[in-house]
Amino acid sequence: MVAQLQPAPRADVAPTTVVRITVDALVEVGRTMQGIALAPVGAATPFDADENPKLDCGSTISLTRPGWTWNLALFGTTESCKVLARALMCMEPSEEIGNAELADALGEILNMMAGVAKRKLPAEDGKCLLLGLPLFLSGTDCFRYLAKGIKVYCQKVTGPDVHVEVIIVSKEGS
Amino acid sequence: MINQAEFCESLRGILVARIQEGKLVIPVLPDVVVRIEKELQDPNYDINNVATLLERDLVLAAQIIQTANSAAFARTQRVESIRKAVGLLGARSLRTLLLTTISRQIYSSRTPAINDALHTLWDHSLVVAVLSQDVAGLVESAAPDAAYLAGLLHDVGQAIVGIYLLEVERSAIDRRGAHRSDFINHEFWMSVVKEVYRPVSAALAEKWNLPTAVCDAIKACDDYDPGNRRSIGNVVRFSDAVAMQMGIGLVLLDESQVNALVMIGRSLLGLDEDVVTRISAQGKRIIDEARLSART
Amino acid sequence: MAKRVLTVDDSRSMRAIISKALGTLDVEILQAEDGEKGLASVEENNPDLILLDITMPVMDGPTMLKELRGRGHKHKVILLTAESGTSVIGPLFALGFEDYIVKPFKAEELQAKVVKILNPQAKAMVEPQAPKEAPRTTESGFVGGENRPFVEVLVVDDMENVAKQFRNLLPESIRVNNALDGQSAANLCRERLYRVVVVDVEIPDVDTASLVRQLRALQPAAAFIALVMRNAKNPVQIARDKGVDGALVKPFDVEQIKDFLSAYFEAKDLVEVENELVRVSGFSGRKDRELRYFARLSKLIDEAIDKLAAACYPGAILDVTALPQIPEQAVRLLTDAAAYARDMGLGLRLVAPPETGQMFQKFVETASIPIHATVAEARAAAQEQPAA
Repeated sequence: MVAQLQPAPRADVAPTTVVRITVDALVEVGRTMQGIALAPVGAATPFDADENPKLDCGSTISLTRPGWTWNLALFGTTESCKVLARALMCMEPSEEIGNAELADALGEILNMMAGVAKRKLPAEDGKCLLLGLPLFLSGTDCFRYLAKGIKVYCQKVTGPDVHVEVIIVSKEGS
Repeated sequence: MINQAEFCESLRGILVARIQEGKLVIPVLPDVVVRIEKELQDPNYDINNVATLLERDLVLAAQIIQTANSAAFARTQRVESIRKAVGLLGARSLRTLLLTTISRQIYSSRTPAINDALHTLWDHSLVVAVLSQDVAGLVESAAPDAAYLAGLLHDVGQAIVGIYLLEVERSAIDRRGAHRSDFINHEFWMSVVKEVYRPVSAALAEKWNLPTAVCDAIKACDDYDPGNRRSIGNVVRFSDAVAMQMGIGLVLLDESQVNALVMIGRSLLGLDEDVVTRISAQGKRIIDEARLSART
Repeated sequence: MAKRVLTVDDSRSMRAIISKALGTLDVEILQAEDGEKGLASVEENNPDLILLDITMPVMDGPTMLKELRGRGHKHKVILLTAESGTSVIGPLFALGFEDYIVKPFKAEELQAKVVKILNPQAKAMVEPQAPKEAPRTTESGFVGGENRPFVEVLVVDDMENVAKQFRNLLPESIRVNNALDGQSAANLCRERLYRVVVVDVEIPDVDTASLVRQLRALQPAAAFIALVMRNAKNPVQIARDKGVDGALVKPFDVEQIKDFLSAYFEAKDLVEVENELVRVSGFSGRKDRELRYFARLSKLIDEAIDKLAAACYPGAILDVTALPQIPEQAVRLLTDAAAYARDMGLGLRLVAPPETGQMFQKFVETASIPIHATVAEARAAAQEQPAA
């Protein structure tokens, strides 16, 4: 039922748009499943790895379409990520959460965010985005894995005991 | 001899081009409605001024009174005069009433066959408007008034495009001195309408200077937005699917798609199945009463 | 034996979340991480319900569902997925599933849908919620469900004094909540169950018709009463035309409040019907309302007899143990009941304490009605020989 009047969308959808969509999705996940009130801080900006030395935990997933690939990532301090993971799994704040559970929970949150992005980003030639599998990263400077000489945008999102960044990496080609 | 397939394709091309260039003729709000809207923008508007403006258009005034007394606008006191209507309703309800009455006028044609289809479309639009208003109230997020208007006008493009196709068909056939009432086949009608009606609906909402929320919802209600679950667009999409499931309107999707839309919408909006059943039954009652009142 | 719910999802977190969400229900949770393991679990454990994700490695949800149906299994399935496209969900209808939940989801939605499928007749499989003292007015949860605290009356009027005056005229045992606008009314109706909702139909800036529809959807068992001004012509008829069950006129007067109580609070408790047994409740009101009590009771007993006749019971057992011993009224009541039962082709037996029984024996009109000391005795006697 979608009118085919507009020209087919170009592959270079603004990264800030993708950031906005996925941040909205994260806020929705927080509200619905976790009971956490998250909110974006300011607007999406180019990501500067040197300004965020404390990001040592996160997950990333690829969104692919013919002609280009996005990487969507959710990064924060280990403690922030644990808060999000505990909330998702209805654990007590004092309950210990292992790396495997942390990886799984962050991956699930990212999966839900990517699912929303998949629905909202325009499709080309009837093909939707393909989602990859979530990849968990931890350790000092682990986010630098993403940001090697290519366009990166981010948006800070905060909540009670939570300070994370939603990062979008744009890369031409497959 | 006219090649039907070529004629249809060229018709589609002309229509699409006109819409893209903004050259498709879209109904405007009558001058009296524009003036009334201007009066209503003043929070301390004068009831007498508004009533006087309305009384200048007797046909519209009569339609307003009829709509005000219908089940969709149920009030405990019967409205018998324009002044009483204006006094009782308040700016919000009056605005909704005016737009409902004017919209109704779009869904009519002198051609009996298309008139029946337009009546069906109007019934569908009214049910979707009422359901959208009720669902928006239930999910406590979208503005019910905006949801009502978006529901009312979400398919108006179908009427406009349908009538336009009829006029083009007539003029093309007349120029050749032949007359066949079914030159454009039904499948073509449906495929063209399905392709282009949504931007036409949105264009009408913008032309009528409706709130941005209404215009955006009409553009967005083709598909659910999982990132903004309780948006007006989602409410209208859901209500549209429920109306189709109830068998009210021209169904452009197959049954499994309609059922999927209802199920997905219930979950996105957080609605219990029983609540939806009750809301639907009430919406159907309003249509049944409206149809009965139209016949008597 | 506890019902079995199989959750099939590749995310360990999601399986843990589902297990926790269903933890308050009387169910056993089974888990599988893909469609293949899901099928194996179905064959081994025969679950009562399957919660099925769509996107999974090894074997995805649609493939598992297709294989399940292909093997002839009719297990109930709820799709629980982040996928919200009709192009994916639509084709699965042909395979058959009960319901759908989109991720992220609220635990209440999952619980409500699981309960509805596993035990559609039950009012609640979940532990009862503690009654809330104050309604939540911000966060909206899952709309629907019957596990809500019960309050007798909700008054929806933008003027606080209206609810206050109304409350003052009612017995203390009848609790009254007040909502000053449509939004508060809807919030309260989401949180609680009401017997009666009283709505002012001229609240400024409120589309009352739409509000009543919304509230009715949330309160299917409640009676709705319109509040109208005294100068409204034929308020009861107008209210009925507009879809409410009755009307009250403002300002209130004592007589109409009495009628209100009689219609919605006294009558409901006067007669209970259980199979062929019609049990009458006692009377605890003012002496001047005794006549009204007997009049209403007579009508309700006739209605009960109608129901028994329609259900093809051969006879009725009328338990009048609680009936006040006012000979003239009681005898008239019983005489009318016996005559009506006879007209409907039903026999009639009474259950009454000895002194009441002796009272009836003294009157010609009621002397021939069989009287028993207990319900069990009456039932046993009815089985041996249905009363004439």
